[in-house]
Amino acid sequence: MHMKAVTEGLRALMYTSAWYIDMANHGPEANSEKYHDLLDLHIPICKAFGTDQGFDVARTGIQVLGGVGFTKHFPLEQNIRDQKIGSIYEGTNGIQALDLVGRKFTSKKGQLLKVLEKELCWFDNEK
Amino acid sequence: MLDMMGDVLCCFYLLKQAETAQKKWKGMITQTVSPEELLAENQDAQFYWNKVRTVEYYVWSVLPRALSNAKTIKNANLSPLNACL
Repeated sequence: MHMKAVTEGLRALMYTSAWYIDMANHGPEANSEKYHDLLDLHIPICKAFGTDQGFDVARTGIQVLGGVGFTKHFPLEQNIRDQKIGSIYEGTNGIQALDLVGRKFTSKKGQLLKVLEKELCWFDNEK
Repeated sequence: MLDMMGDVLCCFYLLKQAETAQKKWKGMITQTVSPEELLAENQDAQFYWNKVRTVEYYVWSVLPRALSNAKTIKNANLSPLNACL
């Protein structure tokens, strides 16, 4: 269930980020800056959180099968090795985290976080 | 911090999914079929039911680690910097 929930959460994050990219580049001009701001926060999270959690899901997959899951009899051990590089290339995850707090939080005098906060009030605005 | 934000954002989008799934599930129930019968046969019903259960799991059993990350950040312990090389 943990693997299912995390995978579905990550997919929702990725699809929403992809939608933000479309809205930022091909949507109405007025909203373009807002979506670029949201993307600036979402992209490092997609990369670093996605790869870290993906590795954890692969690890759990092997754990669930036990000793035989560890062997080449199953494709899972290939998954875990393929997934490990994800947290290393295209911007190592530690650097992504430093960039998120050091640059993204401080850029435009904290505007990125304000835009995100407005988005997260979606449920309040529904009523 | 990044892990914490990731958990919160994933949960937020999952909650949006759960809201839609719950509405669709409620829509299927109002016809004269009981939930158990619906779950036994209808694949869509199973999907909506399981989506809400998945999000319930995420909120109660995965999200608390964001709170523990917040506590760790607030502790702001500098011991790695004070260790001697």
